[in-house]
Amino acid sequence: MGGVGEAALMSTNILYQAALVLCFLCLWITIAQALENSRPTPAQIFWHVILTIIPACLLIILILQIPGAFLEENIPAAPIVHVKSALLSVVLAGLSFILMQRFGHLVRFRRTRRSERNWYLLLFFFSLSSVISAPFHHHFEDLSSNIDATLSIFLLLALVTSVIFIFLNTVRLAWIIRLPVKRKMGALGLGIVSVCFTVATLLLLFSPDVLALNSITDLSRPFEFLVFYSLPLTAIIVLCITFGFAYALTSVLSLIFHLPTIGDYQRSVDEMAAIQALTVLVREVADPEKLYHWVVSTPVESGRGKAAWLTIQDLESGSLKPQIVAAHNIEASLADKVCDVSAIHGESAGTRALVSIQNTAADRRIQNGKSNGILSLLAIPLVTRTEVLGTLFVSRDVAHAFENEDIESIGIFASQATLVLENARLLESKIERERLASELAIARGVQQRLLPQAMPRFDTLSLAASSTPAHEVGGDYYDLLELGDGKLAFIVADVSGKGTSAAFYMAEMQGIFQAVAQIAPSPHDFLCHVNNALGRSLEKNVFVTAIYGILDCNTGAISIARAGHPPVAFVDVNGNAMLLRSGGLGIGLDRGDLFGQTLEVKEHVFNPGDLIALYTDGVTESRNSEGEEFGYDHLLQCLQSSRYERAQGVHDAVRQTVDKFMGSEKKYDDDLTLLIIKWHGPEPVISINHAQNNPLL
Amino acid sequence: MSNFSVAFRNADAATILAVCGELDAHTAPELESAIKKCRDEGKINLIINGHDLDYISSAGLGVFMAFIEEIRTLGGDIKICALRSKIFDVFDLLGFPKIYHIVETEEEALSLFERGIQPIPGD
Repeated sequence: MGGVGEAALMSTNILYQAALVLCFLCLWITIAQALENSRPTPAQIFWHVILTIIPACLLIILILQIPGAFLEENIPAAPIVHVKSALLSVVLAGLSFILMQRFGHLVRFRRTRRSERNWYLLLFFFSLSSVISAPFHHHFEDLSSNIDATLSIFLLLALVTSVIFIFLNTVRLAWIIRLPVKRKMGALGLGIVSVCFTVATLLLLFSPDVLALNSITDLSRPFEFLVFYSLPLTAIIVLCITFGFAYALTSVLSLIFHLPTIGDYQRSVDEMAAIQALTVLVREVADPEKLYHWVVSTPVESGRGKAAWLTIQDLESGSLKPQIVAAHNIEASLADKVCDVSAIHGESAGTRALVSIQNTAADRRIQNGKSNGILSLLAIPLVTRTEVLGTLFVSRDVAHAFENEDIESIGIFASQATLVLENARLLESKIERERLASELAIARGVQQRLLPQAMPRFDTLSLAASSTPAHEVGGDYYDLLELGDGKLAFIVADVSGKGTSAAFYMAEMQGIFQAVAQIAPSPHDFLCHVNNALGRSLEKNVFVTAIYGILDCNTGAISIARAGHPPVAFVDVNGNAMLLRSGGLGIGLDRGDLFGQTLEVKEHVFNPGDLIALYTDGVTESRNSEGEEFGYDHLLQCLQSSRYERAQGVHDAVRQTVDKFMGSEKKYDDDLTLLIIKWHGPEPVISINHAQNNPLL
Repeated sequence: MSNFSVAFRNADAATILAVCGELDAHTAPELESAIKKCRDEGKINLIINGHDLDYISSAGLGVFMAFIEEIRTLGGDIKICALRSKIFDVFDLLGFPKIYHIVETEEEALSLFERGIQPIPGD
């Protein structure tokens, strides 16, 4: 043949191959897109591979039934051979593409940059081998130029590199490790079948004789049809199917080699699952008993220990001795008897480190360990950031049974368990806090109802009062009671301290006031009575200060006594302000006669326009942001300037001034109570009843 | 955080507890344990030097009441000295001077102990 003819043939050939390559590239992309979005499990992948190979092989066998073969190499005996070649090529190309895509999934499981690079290099060298083989199409013998010799070397190099990358990619088996044991077995079975089928495909490709088809195929192998159709495509198909076979084979071998370690791996998977379950549990279970049970059962059920128990130091009960709160596979009482839980807990908690007793027979803290199946023992402290919650004990019935790996694993479990227990504890205390808060809210409501709900109304005087506790409940108290004969008893009292205990005494105070005010003829009698009654129940370091007075609403005559309380503030209509400081001990300071002896009663008759303010130290000791106290002077000034108002106006003026003084960050340090009594005197127009009783008229 | 402290000092006739800072519900337990410690060591003649006391709340006053009965039964006493006028007012308002010896100087308090003078209720 001439050079020109040869060149023309060559270019036709190349165009033909290029067209083919484009077509099959489309097929590859179609398959890639069809399979792209699914995320199958390894077993599913093998299953898909098998399901692809079976119909493909059946199709190949079917196509081979079509009569027509080659007379000699690349010389078809009939035109039908072209059709047959094309059909076989399409089926095999489809099969090999699907194989590549499917196994590609496994190769690229938990992909890294390196594995991605290897995978794409594999595809690249497959393509390169295919491209280099293109000029050889139909010209095995015709061409003998020296170009072919060089090309052959390149082709050989590309093929060898392809094989190297097949090897590199087949050892990417990251998916095996993560597989649970059941799936591993499944993948193994399916893998073996896949190997068989890929081998069968390769055999079918090269020698259908094994399938006893020689009589039908007219001695032509499918391979010959492929080569006849397109050599580059054949190269790709053979490489792909080889890769499929190699990958299935290494998978199967690797799965088989992994079988002996499946137990160990499964155990750590179980442990992790147990820890996971524990963290889920804490969100759902508030019952610490259940959590304790989980903590002790997990090390035993994961096979790390034979028995386990947990000790917790219950500080709330005031006992320093750690108690066994849960035990698994052993009676708590037996564990307590056999091993000196306190001593070991003490050591592990003290050092905040694990105590490992590999042979309990040699440790005096364990008695009769052998007969009770405790021969090795681990004690792991459950250490939080701030404290040691308890100690987890794990025992085994053989000496020296704990390997480093067991110790490590139990240690990790213990730290997880600590987190879980601490979370549960925090949750519990949060619930407790919320419960307390709602109880306190109820208590506050109750306490507010102990105070007068409405002020009694009189023609001759006006009244206004308020009380604000610093916390939910407080120890301040004020009250008023009409005694008959136009007399009004009033009290302002302050129990030392704040909060709940003060609130109880305040309630007691209210009971005493309501009962005793009716029968005590004078403030002196009343306060002595209170001192006797409260003195018995008050704690030693608690006292009550009070001011008690009786006002004749007809005459304006007032008698008043002060028991350790801040002095009464008095302002007359002319603006003269003073503090009325009579003698008197706080209630509870002295439980003998001294109280009565030192208590003074002041008598006074109001003139119209006079007013008194009774208050607790919350008013005068209110502080501003600079730490200054409101003080008596401020109070008196405020009373002076608002003295023309009725009681409510005076009261509001004082409260507003105090609030203003305290500034923006208004937060009461102490309970704050204020009672204003303003005497207006008998009205010019008065009721007949009053007129009769009023000696001034 | 606590801005309260108690310093111990031994004199011939008594143990002096110099208190400093703010004595309120939070710091009261410190003074309480200090007095407890003295009592347990058999030191029952106590002088509270309040020269550096800036503030006292009712809970702080309660500490004195908690121990006085017991200390006096044991034959000792708690005397208070060197209070600033504002602090003294708080004690005075409540009637403390009727029950406790509250004197101006530490020397005065010591001499009361030396002379063996017990407070006379209502004095």
